[in-house]
Amino acid sequence: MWRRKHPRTSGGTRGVLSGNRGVEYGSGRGHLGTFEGRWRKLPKMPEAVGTDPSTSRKMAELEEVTLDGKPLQALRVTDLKAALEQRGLAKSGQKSALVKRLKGALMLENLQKHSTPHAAFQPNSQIGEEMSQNSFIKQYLEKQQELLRQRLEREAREAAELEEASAESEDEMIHPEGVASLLPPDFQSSLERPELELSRHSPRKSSSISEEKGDSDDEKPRKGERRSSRVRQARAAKLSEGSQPAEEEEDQETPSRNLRVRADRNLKTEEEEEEEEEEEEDDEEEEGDDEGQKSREAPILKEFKEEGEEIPRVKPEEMMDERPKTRSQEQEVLERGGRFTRSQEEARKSHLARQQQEKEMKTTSPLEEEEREIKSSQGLKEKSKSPSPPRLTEDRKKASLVALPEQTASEEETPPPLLTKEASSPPPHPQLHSEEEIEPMEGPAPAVLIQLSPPNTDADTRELLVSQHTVQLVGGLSPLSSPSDTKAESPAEKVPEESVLPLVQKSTLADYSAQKDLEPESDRSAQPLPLKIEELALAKGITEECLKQPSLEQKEGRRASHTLLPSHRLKQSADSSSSRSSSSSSSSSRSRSRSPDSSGSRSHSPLRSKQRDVAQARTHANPRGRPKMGSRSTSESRSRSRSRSRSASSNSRKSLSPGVSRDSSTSYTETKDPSSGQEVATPPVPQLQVCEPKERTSTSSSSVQARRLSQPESAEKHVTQRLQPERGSPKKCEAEEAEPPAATQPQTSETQTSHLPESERIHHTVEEKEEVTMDTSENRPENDVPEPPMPIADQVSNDDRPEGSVEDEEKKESSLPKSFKRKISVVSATKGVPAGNSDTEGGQPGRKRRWGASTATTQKKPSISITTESLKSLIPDIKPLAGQEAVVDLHADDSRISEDETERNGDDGTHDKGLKICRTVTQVVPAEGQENGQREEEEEEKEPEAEPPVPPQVSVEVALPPPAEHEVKKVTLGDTLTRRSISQQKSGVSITIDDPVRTAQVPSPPRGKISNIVHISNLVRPFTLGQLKELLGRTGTLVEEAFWIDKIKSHCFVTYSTVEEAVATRTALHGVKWPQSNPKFLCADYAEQDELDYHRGLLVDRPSETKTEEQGIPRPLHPPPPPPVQPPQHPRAEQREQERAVREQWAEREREMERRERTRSEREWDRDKVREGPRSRSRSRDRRRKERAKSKEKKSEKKEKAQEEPPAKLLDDLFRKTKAAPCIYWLPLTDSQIVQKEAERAERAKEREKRRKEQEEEEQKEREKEAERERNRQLEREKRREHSRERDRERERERERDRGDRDRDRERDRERGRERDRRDTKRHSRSRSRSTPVRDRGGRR
Amino acid sequence: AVESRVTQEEIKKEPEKPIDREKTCPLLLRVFTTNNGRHHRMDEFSRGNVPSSELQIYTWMDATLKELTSLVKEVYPEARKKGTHFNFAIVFTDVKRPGYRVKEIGSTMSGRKGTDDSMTLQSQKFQIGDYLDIAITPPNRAPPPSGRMRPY
Repeated sequence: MWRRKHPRTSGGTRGVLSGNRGVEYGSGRGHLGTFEGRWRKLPKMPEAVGTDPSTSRKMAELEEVTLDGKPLQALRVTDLKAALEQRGLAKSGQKSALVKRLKGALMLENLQKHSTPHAAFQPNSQIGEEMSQNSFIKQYLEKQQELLRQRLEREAREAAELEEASAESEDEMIHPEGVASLLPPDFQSSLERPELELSRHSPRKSSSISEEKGDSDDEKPRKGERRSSRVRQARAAKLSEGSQPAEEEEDQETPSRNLRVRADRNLKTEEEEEEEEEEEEDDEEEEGDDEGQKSREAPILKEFKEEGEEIPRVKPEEMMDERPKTRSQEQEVLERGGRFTRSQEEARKSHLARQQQEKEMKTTSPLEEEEREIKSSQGLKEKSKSPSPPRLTEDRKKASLVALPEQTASEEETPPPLLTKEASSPPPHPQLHSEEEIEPMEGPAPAVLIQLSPPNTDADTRELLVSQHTVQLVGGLSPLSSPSDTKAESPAEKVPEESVLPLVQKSTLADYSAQKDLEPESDRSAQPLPLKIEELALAKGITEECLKQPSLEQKEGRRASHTLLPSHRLKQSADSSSSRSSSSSSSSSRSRSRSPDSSGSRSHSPLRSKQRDVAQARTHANPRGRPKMGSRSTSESRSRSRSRSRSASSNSRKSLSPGVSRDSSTSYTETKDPSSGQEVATPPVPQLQVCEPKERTSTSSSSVQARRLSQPESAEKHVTQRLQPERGSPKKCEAEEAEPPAATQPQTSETQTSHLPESERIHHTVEEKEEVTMDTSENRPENDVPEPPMPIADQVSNDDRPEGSVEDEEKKESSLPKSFKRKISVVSATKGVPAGNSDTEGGQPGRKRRWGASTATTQKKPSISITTESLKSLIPDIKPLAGQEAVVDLHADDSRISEDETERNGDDGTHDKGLKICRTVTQVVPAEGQENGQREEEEEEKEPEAEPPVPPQVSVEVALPPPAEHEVKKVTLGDTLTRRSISQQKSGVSITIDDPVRTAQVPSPPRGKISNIVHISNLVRPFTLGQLKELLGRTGTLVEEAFWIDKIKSHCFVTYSTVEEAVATRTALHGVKWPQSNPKFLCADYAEQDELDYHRGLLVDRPSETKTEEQGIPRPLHPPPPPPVQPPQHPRAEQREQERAVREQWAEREREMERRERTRSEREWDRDKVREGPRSRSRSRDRRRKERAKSKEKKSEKKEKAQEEPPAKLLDDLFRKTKAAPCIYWLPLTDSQIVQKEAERAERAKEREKRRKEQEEEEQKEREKEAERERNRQLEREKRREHSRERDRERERERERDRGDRDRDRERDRERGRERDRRDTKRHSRSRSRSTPVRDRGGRR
Repeated sequence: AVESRVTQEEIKKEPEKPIDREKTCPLLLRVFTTNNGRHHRMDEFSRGNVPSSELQIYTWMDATLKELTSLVKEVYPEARKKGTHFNFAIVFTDVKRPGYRVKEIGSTMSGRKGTDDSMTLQSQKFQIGDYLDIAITPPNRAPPPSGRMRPY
């Protein structure tokens, strides 16, 4: 947030004049997050206007068949005739004919109306944001827009020519009519008088415009198209207003889009800017050295800006209120943009009506339209680039022509005192020169150091230098804090703004060129540039100020302010602090060191630059750090050549301290003027390069691709170049303080311009991540190459590169790798990179790739390619462009891919130009490198399939990615042959490898005796064997069988076919950082065969061990006596010893690792057996371990058992269980069990039966017995009864006898009675007898 | 008399036959542990109540004390310390009198081998449905005298 604020504030302080610039400046660091916001703001003007056109358009559409709301058919003939008459058409014929005629006329009208809105309102506009990133889509969109624009133009012309009067009246009438009700009064009026509306809408604009107008009118009589220019200005002002806040907010974050937009705006605003510049210059002149004036101006400017900002914000809201419809903000934005464009178009139409005579208007109008379109749809921005390059160029030419004289004049006119103008204003030159001189004074030491001293010393010296710079800066800063906050800020702001303007212009140029080229990437890169440029401008301003002001306290204050500004970006603080304690924080120190280094190198001038070039070449070869460094360096160098501001910006982006920026600026100035001088200077570069030829050879195919691209583009570029020289010159003049001769201007401008885009791109990449830069840098250089100034440019670029490389090296030395990364990240963060990254990534898929992350981005491309094809099929017109693009993309793909993992390619690409030149010029080494590289390529392609014999385990991990990439490439490329040929042309194309980052300029002397075996240690994964071999293969031919790497890939022995290759490898890889994630620096040294053999297992005795044993002797064996090859210098010997020790350590480590690995796979108790147990202590340990292991084993076994036992799962599987709480397992009985059980049951039943029967029988028996007893008793009773009866009878008989004796008479009677008695007695006796037995019994008993 | 005969027969059989644990349903062994070295009082089992420290182990009649110990140790990490003493007792209902009776069957010690390690449940006439009461004694404490264990 503070960033945003800061730029804003700066812009505000900056003042009206710089308002646009300020915006741009702000935009330079655009935040992505604000992206939307910006749009909202932009549209405010358009909104008001836009509503009208949209509505009108709708009406028109509806009207197509209707006139005044009635269908034509429904109209009476008289009405039709009237309408036709109105339109100047024949009114004869039948009604149907009339209707037809009228319909046609109406349609035409509608079309005219629609066409403009269409451009703004294309369906693609929405798509654009999403798809804008895709280059092909961009192209497509551009095409579309172009077509639309053309159509519009056509229509407009037709309308104008055919129906001049009618069209005018219609246009004017219709628009106001349709829109009038909807439009706010301002807009309505504005339609008729654009200027007025502009003034009303944007007070600041109006004010500025009015001022400008006055100035322009006075100053710019040359233009016949004043009106158009004014209109443009007004538009520009609007745009600037709209864009300013947004830009300020976004500036850092939104690179590409903003850039594009800016570029467009810039184009528009160029005139304004020029005017403003003039004004500023005037003001500055007036002010002279007086800063107070500036401060005065600054507040005013602020006010203006603030107003501008506020207004845009407010307006959209108002607009919203007016239209209560609930639309998404984006839609609103888009609509606004569309409206805006419409309004502009309307205004333009009105102008046309008025000024139809001026055909120029048309040209301008298309431009405007394009601009509008761009504005309307961010995604469509690209379209604008492509659409009508010639027209644009024409316009630009005009503008540039106009601007150039003015600017040049102004520059010439403007005396030195203007601190703010810095880059643009000539006055600073003297000061700058002086500063430059001063800087060189400071710088020279580092240069010398670099050349002569070993890396360490260099680093130290550099650090010292850095510290000095920082000290200076600090000094500036300290005063800043107290004294001139406002003043300092204001100038600083102004400066950046001013500088930004030129930069922006340049960027716009670059954009145009890019458009012409139709290279999406370049466009993207170019777009980001303005932001960077802005930053650069700030930096430049700072630097310039610093340079200029060294003597003056005020200047110091300004510096401080400037420095403060950067610090806001986080850089300053880090720089100042870090610079003070140069080595304290690695990152900070790095940044410092870098900056000072760069500055120093730059200041050193050509020599240094040459060295740097060489270094860059090295960096190309080197894996990680170098690519970044190279990119930086390239950017820096380019920026130098282009403009101080750029270089400064690059530095600042890099988080370099202001001092660095100064240096860069100074260097820049140097480079600028003496483009020829650079050329002269270049020759030394090759020599330097010779030292590091291998690295150069490593240059990637991407560079080649870039070349290709550049070539096809060259024609386009040439066209642009014509324009550019003019444009470029003014820009240069502005940007570059010293652009003396007009004659030199064209060339310089070209070179500069070309450089600019490159630098911009580089900056972008740098900002995002330095690593990413490859693509942009590559592309740009290519562009440069094709052009006539090519040699110079190339040389310059080369010079720059080497410088950068030197710087990089210095940086490396000074800073640790980790810190480096951190720094980068910090920088990116500070710059709002994250958002920027996203944009840039979206825009430039290939860019940021670090070591592992490449795939996603790389994968994007294939999809893109597909889209391109589809697009091609869809739009045949695009074909030529598409074809170019496709080629570009392919290259880009390669470069991206290479970048992904290596970035080196990009560096290579950038360097390639230089390399090419260099090769042609001098070098032997590069050729080797190339060849090697070629081989490597081929090898690489093969490698993934047939992997080297070395450790399979290791290879598995990393090996996969490269092949995938290869595949991707194949898919995308389609024509591998061409690519290969290209790659062959250039140095080896290593797709997968990180570029080694060279930390130390001069590798430390080898410790071992030179041999064809190189031992490389400090390897740190991740890297694949293939990548490593590719890296190693760059500098020579590997002997595959003799390659050895330990299992953990920490060190390896490489055998080259020749000693020279080994030497080259060592020089290339020693002290280098590779892969980029490696926190350490590679240590490459020569090794002996026996060492290798030992590691390979061929030798039982380890040479190192023998060495160690022998080490008791002063010089342990360097197995092959080291002294012979290199005359034994004492230090050398020591070094060797150390080296041996190191190697020993390595061996130890290796052994350990092997042991561990073994133990992993082996059983623990087998360790001892496996181990070679020369050490006693280890044995004891082993024993202990053994025991432990055994016990452990037992335990584990037990555990296993226990675990095996009851796993619940198994139980559940095996058994069924109850649902009840504590479940109980159960199983159904098996059949056999069932049978068994049943049998048992049956048995039991039988038993039971038996028992029952027995029981029953027993019972029966008992019963029977009882029955018998009873029977017996009864029988006895019966017997007794019988007895008793018999007795009774006997008694009766006796009685009867007694009676018959006495009474015989009576007897007769008695007899009768007797007889009766007898009967009775008998009866009686019976009863008696019965009873008697009882009696008897009883009697008996 | 008949039934008792059957059970006796089964008991006789089992020791001879190794138990196929995949074909024999596991029995639910309700284990109650104490960590104070003393077994639970039998009144804690009365009237359908059981002590709160219950482990439910599905096992077989041939489970050894060692095996049970390991299972317990899985659950109670603190019992894994070397020297921790496990005293096993079977809690069963007394046919003759109401209530439960406890019968100590053996003890194990983690980290050491003991004579009772291989003792099985069935060898101790464990009846399915009986409880197992394990008195766990931390290593630093001497195992409580066995006599104490049977207050009842």
